[in-house]
Amino acid sequence: MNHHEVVITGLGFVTSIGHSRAAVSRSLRELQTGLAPWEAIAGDSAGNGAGGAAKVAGRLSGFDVGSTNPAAWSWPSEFQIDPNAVRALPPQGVYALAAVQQALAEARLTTAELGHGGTGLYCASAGSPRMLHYHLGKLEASGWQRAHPHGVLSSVAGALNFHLGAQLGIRGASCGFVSACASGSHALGFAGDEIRLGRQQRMLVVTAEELTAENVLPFGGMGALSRATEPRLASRPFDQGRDGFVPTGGAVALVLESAAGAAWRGARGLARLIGWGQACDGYHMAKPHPGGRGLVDAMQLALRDAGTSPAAIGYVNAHATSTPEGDRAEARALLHVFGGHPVPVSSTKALTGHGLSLAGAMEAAFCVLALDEGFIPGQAHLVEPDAECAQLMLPRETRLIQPHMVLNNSCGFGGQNVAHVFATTTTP
Amino acid sequence: MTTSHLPPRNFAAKSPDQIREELIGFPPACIAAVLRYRADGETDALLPALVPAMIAFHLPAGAKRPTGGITNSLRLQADLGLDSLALSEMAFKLDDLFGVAIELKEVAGIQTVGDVQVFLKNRLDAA
Repeated sequence: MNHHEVVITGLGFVTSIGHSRAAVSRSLRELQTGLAPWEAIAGDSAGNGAGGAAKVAGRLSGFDVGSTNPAAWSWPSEFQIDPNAVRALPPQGVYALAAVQQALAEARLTTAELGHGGTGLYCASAGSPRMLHYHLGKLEASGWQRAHPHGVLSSVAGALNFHLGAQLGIRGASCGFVSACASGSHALGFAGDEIRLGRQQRMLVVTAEELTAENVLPFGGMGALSRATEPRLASRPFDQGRDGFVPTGGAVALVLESAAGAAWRGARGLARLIGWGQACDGYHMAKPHPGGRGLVDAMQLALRDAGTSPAAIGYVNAHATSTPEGDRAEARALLHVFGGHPVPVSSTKALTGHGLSLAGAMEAAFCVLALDEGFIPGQAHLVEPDAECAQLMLPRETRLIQPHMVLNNSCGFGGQNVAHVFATTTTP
Repeated sequence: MTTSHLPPRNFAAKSPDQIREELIGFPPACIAAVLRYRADGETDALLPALVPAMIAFHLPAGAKRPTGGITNSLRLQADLGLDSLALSEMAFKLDDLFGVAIELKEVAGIQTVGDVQVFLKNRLDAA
């Protein structure tokens, strides 16, 4: 395969640990949590969604998109969003627009520059269960006679693609990815391939999730949510006291470009995407394979694709969501791949919560920050490591040292595993 | 000549707060006109306040509002950029607000802002 080199030139964040690159970087360096009691952030005005199985969630300060009436939504004033542009959006579409604005600004691109066939758009989002619930309820109440014109547009899993594609004037490739919590990582990996294969000069990757009772609380039926009430104890990846994941929403946007194209227009590369791999457990619809066999394969394929070895990796951003089985399986997979080459590992979900489809690209963006700014995020909220995870190198504090190559893991239901390898722009 | 009928029963049964909530995002003068209509059933004062605001609410993203305001002679599609989806959305909103059934085929032929006023007046007066 004749590879074109892929650089990341822009990042945008609407996350529980910040709505700007600077805020996110500060949170990762200082290990500031974005988690708060659920009642304060995700119950709607009628009290729906307060309580339930989730006691803590990753807050999105300054955004209020909890109403089913988009005219009632609000967002921080630094984001220039036309109220007429949100009428048919899912709630997370507002987060996505804010993230895209930041990413384009950092990449020094205007919307007008996206409207040629060389720029594509890959997204990941589960759609909006809240809007689907609302519109289906209204439709059923009308005897299935009156369907709102935006019932589909604001709800379905492809909503991000068709809204952003239209609003940004995208003429290149456009596709959505649905592989549970690996969705964002699939979007990023395939977006990278579009550039590597010379099919697109530039790709915008956007992942977003709403934070609502409808999107989150069904996970309680599987026992997947943490019941802890103290934010600092709720999301504890690799800790022996972990009891499930803490939900969050938000959006992340990344601008990927061919290195030659970025250089031609004078854009600064923040980091390079040098390889990725994916593999499935073939084991269970929800549980990971106990040995993480699919994840082992995904990591090894990513390392091979990047033309590198475990010894060259300076940091791993783990998928670890703070569930008992998932973290243990990932620890086993990491020890299998990196056993002879101890590498600092952390799961930033301790700070952010778990963003589902959003997670993979969010954590990839954290990896890009780590490479561009020279730090390794520490493992927050770790009190006593699980006996099976204790062999991992889990730094309790963020280290201010420059990694040259990092690996990012993502895992979704069905044992769908993705790993990316990123490098600094100067690493050979 | 002022025209006064009883407002549609389902609409009259709504509380002012419920109406205000349904009209979040609309100008205060428009909301006041709708609340007055609930009390007096007079469409002549309602329509010039409601219809331009309703159309402005449903303009496409990035659309520039006419410098002279949304006047009756403006064409919904050619001058204001309202497409069939926006027109459907507006019909749904009016249907929801006033509780008067509006079929999509009824609004498909509406051309101008003034046509919307005439259509809505007829529908409300007949309710």
